[in-house]
Amino acid sequence: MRSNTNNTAAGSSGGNKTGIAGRGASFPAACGILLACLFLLCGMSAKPSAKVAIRTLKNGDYQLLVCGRPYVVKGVCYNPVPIGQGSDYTWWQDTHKPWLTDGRMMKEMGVNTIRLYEPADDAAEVKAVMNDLYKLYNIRVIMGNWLGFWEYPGPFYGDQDFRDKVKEKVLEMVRTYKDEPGILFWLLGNENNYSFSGQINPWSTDEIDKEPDPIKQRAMRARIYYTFVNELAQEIHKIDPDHPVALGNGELVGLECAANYCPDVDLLGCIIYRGKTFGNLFNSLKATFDKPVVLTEFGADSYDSYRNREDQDIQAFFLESQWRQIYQNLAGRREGTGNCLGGVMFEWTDEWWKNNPNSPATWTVHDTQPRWSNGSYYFDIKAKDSLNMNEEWFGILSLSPDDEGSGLDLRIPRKAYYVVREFWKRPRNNREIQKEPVERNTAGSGLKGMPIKDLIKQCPLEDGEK
Amino acid sequence: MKKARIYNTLFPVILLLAAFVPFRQACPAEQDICAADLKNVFSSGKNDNASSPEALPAALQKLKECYYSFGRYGEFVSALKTIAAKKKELAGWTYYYAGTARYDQLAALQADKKWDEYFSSGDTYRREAVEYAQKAVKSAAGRGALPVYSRLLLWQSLREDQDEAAAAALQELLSAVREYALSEGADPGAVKDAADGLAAAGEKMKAGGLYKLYIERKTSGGSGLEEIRALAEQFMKEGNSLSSEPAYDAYSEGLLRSPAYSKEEKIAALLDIAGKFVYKDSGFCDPEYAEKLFAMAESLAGKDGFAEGQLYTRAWNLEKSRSFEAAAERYAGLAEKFPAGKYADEAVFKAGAIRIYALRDTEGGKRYLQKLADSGRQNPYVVSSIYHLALLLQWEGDSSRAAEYYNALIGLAGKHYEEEVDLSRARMAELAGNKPIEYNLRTFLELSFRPENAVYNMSRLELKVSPVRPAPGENISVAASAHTAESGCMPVKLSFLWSGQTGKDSKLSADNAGFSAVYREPGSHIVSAVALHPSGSIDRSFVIIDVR
Repeated sequence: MRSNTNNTAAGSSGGNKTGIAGRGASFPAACGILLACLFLLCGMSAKPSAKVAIRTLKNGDYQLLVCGRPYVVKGVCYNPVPIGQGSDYTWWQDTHKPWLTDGRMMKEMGVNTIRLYEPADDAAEVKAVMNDLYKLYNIRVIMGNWLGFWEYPGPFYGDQDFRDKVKEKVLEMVRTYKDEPGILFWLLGNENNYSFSGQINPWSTDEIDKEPDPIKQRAMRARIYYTFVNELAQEIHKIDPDHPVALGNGELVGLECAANYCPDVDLLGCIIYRGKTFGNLFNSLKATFDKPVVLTEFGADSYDSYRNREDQDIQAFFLESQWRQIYQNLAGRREGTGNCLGGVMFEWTDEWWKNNPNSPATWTVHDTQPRWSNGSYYFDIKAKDSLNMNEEWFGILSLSPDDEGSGLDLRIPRKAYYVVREFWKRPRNNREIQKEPVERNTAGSGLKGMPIKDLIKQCPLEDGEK
Repeated sequence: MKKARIYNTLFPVILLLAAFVPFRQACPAEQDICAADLKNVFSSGKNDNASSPEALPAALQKLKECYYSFGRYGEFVSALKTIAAKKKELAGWTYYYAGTARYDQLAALQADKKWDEYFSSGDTYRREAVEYAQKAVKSAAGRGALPVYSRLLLWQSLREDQDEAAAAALQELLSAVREYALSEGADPGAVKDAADGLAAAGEKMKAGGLYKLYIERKTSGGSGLEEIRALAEQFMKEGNSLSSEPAYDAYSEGLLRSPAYSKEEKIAALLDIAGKFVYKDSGFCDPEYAEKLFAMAESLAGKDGFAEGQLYTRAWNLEKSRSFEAAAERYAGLAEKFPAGKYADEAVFKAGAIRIYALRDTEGGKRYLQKLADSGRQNPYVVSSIYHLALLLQWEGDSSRAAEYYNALIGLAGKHYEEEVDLSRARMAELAGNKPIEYNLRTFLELSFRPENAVYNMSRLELKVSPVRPAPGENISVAASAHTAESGCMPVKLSFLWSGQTGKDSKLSADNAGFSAVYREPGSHIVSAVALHPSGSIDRSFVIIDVR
């Protein structure tokens, strides 16, 4: 029920929250209200949403809670475009329902979350996918929105009409999906901050154009964009206090500005490719933008551009090392920063269209041409022109054309699938896990002050949960 | 019969034994591989002083080398466990070597791509490396250099985690090294090993500090200057600027203090070292350090104490390391001191060109170029000066004077300086047709001279030439390196507007961040460029190519 949801929701920091039962009411009335609430919570709600909150522990660590229980995001970016299709392919309509096969394999691996960059236009199709994944495999969704970054002719964040258009689209998305039980949190933008330099997807305003200093131009774009994202976060909180709102950001670029302009964002969704480890990322974040972080895109490709052959081992090597550092920085780890909530690997399956998005003839070919260079992925940095990042080879699963008539490309797990699976079964770090006392729910929650055990009671038990 | 039966019984046994011996020799049991070194460990140290920095670990080091040569890290760890059980006095060192073995084993698995073992056992090795290092640290007191090595190993094992434990381990390492370095009988080699470890991991500043400490300790025992210089040269050969520079610092400071050398000998020695660090297009160099030594030599020699060649090298080093203001001053000083010298005209030309294009001081720069233009001499510097003066006049809108200068150049050039003549003709065609300067060149001039473009200060675009001093007719490559903003997986599409004296018949393309060129004439040729991204300019830059 919407009102009940509003009254009892655990969510982000901006929501309006009240307790379940008012103090000072007469005993029979209070019992009646309590019973009514329990009755409503226990079954009358058509689609009770999993209440998602971020709690701050006494030592400053952050923890994601879903229905009051700690939740580590073990995710994959999901866009199952089949061989021979391009970016416009609406896989949601695929009658072979790839998400059913993928969901099963994800569950076997231990994946509990997928990231969707943006929902399709048909909400019914999207909900069907989300419900299948959640009900059958307990997989939740980070629902994203590009914030118009790829709009033609450009993402004019300085233009009010453009902003209004994007805002309406985002809020419509939230209204449409907020009550789906599989929603984990909202993710605004992806690497939109790379446009601040004017070198990627350039956009501007008259004021910016008058400024000759590129450094000041960058700061002006950052202010405009992050202010807009914060405005969206505020509006989302009004509609949906049940789910946190994340700022998607490429690396840490611009976050010194975001710290000033995004107080209402609940967490950071960081896109980061730094090779074997994330370096000083978690410490840097703590110092510049002290909010919890989910690495909403990271990983490694499985093609060795130097030796010109697939190399699943190097992909597995990088992913295992990356997960090790993620786990070292979760809440409760003695030596880590405690600001990491988990990660989402890029990506579930290869996408054969990525090297030549405008050339359909190439979508049936698994291109090995690298698109960009990253020296942190050092095994093949000696490739020609140091180009070593192969966009069509990032999948944890490779694809093979269907030769069995099933209508679905064969999914073939790469080594990384197994290595990460094993890691998640026994996440290893060298430090003793610090035991954390049961904490009261603190900032960012609609049930501030309520003990966690009572918070758990707000959520009806879900399939597969004890 | 009885004899036959004995024979029949014994014979197969004898045959079996005879076959077994060579078999055993062909396939020795694994523990035999380093048996000799292992035995040496057990027999060493009976009378050794447990705190001796060298005696105890030396045998372990030899054992390590043996097992490592076979890649038998696991067996080495097992051997160390046996040693630790039987020789308690070696406990600290066995922990250290066991930790090192696991650390090195992990590195070897990655380098050799032995992924199956890496994934199945890597985590165990990682954990053991840390645990053994921690045990070694705990039992390090009073065991020579073990506090240094154990803490180095612990930091190396934790480093990639980038967490509080790693940060603490680094600080503890630095403290341990300093404490050890000052202790009696300390082996400076341990300090160097710690510095090497830090340098290898990219901790350059901290490594530099430890190298300095190493040099101080190494030379505190009264080492002669030549010994210190030999040490510095050894580091130089290793290509390690972090260690060679502190060593040369120690040498040069000692040299300045020493009464055994004359002023001229000191100056010569300092200039000789400076020459090792001056700019090069490949290989090790540190132009800033070279300049520091030049300044030291100047403090002895006085402003007029350098020969022409030495002054030129110093100015050239500053120019190539993009210290333009200092370079312009040095070239001007060289020309003033040696007005008829070998480098005079080149120095005047460069003093002018650098003032104009790097420092935006067109009036100041023109004065130098005009001196050459008025000289009446015919050489590449004069010709280039006339060309650039004409270009500036054209840019400033003084077409008639610009045309005069272009004509003068063509007249002076005769059959030589084809490129400058071609460029002049192109400019004159623009003047005659009332057309603007060619787009690439005009863009460079706009970014160089318009006041509103002061932000384009060449800090984001660098042009490099290889070889740095080509001969006429030699192929050279010019490469641009633009500093772009971070863009993740979306590479920024750059364009390059090449202009200037780019060499005859060079193939230039806006899509290419470089080109190949051949210069048939000697001289100093100015190549300029502007780097663009989709919606604007990144920066402009120029380079002077000296063809001899």
